[in-house]
Amino acid sequence: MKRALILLLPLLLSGCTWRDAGDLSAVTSAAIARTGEDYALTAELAQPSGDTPIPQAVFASGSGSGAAQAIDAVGAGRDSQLYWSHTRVLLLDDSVLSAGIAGLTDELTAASEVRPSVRVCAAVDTDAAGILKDTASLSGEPVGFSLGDALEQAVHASQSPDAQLYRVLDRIRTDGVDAVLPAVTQKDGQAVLSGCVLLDAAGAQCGRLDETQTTALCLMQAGGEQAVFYDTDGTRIALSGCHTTMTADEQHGIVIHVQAKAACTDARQLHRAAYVVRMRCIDTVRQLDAAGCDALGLGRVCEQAGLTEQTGMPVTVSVTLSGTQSTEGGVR
Amino acid sequence: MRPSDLTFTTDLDHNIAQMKRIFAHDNTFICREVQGSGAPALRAALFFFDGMVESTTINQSLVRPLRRWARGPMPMDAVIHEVLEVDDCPLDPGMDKLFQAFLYGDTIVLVDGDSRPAVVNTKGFAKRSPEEPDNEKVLRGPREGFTEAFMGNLALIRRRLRTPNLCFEFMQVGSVSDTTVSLCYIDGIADQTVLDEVKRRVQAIDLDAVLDANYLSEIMRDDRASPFPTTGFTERPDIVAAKLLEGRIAIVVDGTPVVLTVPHILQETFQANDDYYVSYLYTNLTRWLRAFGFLLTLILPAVYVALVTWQQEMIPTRLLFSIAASRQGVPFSTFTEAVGTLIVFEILKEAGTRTPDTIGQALSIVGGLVLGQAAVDARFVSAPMVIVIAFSGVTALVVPKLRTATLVFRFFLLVCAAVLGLYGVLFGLALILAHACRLTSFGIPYLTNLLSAEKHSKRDVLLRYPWFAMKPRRRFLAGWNEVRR
Repeated sequence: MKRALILLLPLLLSGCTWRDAGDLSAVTSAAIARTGEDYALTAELAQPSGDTPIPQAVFASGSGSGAAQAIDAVGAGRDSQLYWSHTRVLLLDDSVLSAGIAGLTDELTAASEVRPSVRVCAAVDTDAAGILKDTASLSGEPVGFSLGDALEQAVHASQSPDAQLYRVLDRIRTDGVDAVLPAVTQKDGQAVLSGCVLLDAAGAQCGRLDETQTTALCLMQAGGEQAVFYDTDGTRIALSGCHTTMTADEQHGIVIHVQAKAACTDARQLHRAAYVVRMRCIDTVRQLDAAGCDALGLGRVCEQAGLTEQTGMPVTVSVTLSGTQSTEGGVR
Repeated sequence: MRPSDLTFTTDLDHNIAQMKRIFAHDNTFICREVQGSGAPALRAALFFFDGMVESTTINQSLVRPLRRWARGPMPMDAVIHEVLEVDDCPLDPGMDKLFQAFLYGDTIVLVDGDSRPAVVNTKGFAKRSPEEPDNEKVLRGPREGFTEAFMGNLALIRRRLRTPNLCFEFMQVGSVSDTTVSLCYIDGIADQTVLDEVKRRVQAIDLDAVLDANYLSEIMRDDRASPFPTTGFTERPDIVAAKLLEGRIAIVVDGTPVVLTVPHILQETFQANDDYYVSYLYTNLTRWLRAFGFLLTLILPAVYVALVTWQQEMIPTRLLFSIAASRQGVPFSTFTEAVGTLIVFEILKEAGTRTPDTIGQALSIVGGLVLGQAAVDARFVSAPMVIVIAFSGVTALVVPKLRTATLVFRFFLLVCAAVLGLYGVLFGLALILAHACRLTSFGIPYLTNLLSAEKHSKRDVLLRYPWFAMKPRRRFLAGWNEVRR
């Protein structure tokens, strides 16, 4: 009897309440904007439907002086509990980026149920909430789903930086590498990737890269395994097995060495491809330098190499490609 | 008046009257008076029970020789030697043994002028032939199974182990049924301590009747409240022979095809009957599948409830929405739904077990498919819950020896999951493991071999080594009873 009581008591005292999966309103994506000093949050909720396995998207909005208050305001008055753990994407408005996202990322990480692996991206040339509300995904699923999937694919293909919340926070606070967010815009009723947004050390927007520069940046950051560039005449240069190293010494300065396999038919084409990739990379390094964003962590590389004088350290990009018949399988 | 209080006299008529008085209310009792052809004639009486005896034996070996006896009356010992044509006929074995044999199908023979009875082995009651047990079928291997015939069962064991060290010790249990129980073991392999403990426990049994081996099991086993089986059951003589070779003791109970084997440890529950008759590679694969199946059947409903009610973040997003969509309109909480579905599943299983085969199949289809689909359509339960419970139920079938443990622990873990989520499941599993660790079977730890550091004892636990690898030392229960070579 005593044993049974000892077993039963912790079970009862631990709180016999739970929330069923069906009682939750799962947030698939959210758009955050600033209106004055307040945060305005628009959440896309996936409403399960008994008739179809694809949930329907509904929207809820709220605002507050901080992100946590805005989240609470969105959930206030709803008959079901907002569930943030399955949120795939956080879209940040221009207004948020220009003010800096350091405080926001802190608050989202510490004071909300949002998973640290949620992907953060910037809404450019349009309103962040508008992207969620006005975009139709091809599968009929909530936009958060399709956008989340698209970002994952893009990261794998070096088309987008891997900007998960914990990584962004880490870069802003400690990493020694400035954060870069994928940029999303709306085109013909679809949410599409549009390069990336550069953030400075304080987490405020300081510039943008276009799609090609973004690919070069991802390649130099060793982000994805594959990458695609286009020559000036439109020739497609598909790289696979990408591997990037970065070294620094007083004699050579900073050297970024990119190795990859490229699909080609002869040595001439291979040389041309290496040249194109190298030029894209150099262009991107220049753009980063101009924007004042150390997204490649050049400062950190110098520090690790024991070089105290960083200003004016030359950056060299070296590209080594090995030819293959097809990087996408099969024989061309 | 009890039969054992009876005293025979030299007056045959008086003896007949006594016997008829004792069995006055038993219409199967037959008293056959026989008279020889001599002058004066030899008078004898045969007492037996209709249906319990072999009529041919009585007619040809007893009645005919007695009727043809042309000489005069003789004492009983002379009748046995000169008249009766029987092989087994003890003279005056004592009233207890006499009536024990008589009530078990033997025939009492009395002659006029001698008070000493003889008892002739004429047992001949109906019995099944040794068929393959329905619940212990094998893909390959012997197809014989025990029957309700006690001696026949012992013969089936003896036939497989032709060694003078094979011992059968008889004991009587049940104050009314007076059931014969035989302890079988191989002298020199079985552990004497365990054997003594088994004898002590059998002798201590105080029951009116023992009609099946489970009567003994429930009284003799170590932890009577544990859902884990600490005594083994089998209906196959080859399994009993194998277990005797491993140092175990078999308890054969008269009137049931089920034989108990002790000690019984956890590893045996994952061993199938034909593990040793098919390729060891196949055996090893299926043995792991059985263990995995047992784990699945225990934790699947609990983990599902824990994930859906507590740790939704661990469910992939699309799966979560699929589950949430299927739960739309279901009026019960996930826990209530799980308990209800499990109970319905167990009821259907029980009904299927108790009904004849043909109806049982129809019942399974109606219950499993039609009822399940209708319940989902009517939003009584969600489709994922039906899938989880059905899968859990099917996987339970791979370890039939742990049926009770599966049933009990599945509900226990379900409650733990509902109260504490995945932490509760782990907490419950830890409790079950702790319980198994403290279990013993006739003094042998229940997890013997699983936790043993002794190298050779692991050759038939998680993996079955091929026979050539087990040859240097025969597989055994534990280091304490190695086979002496």
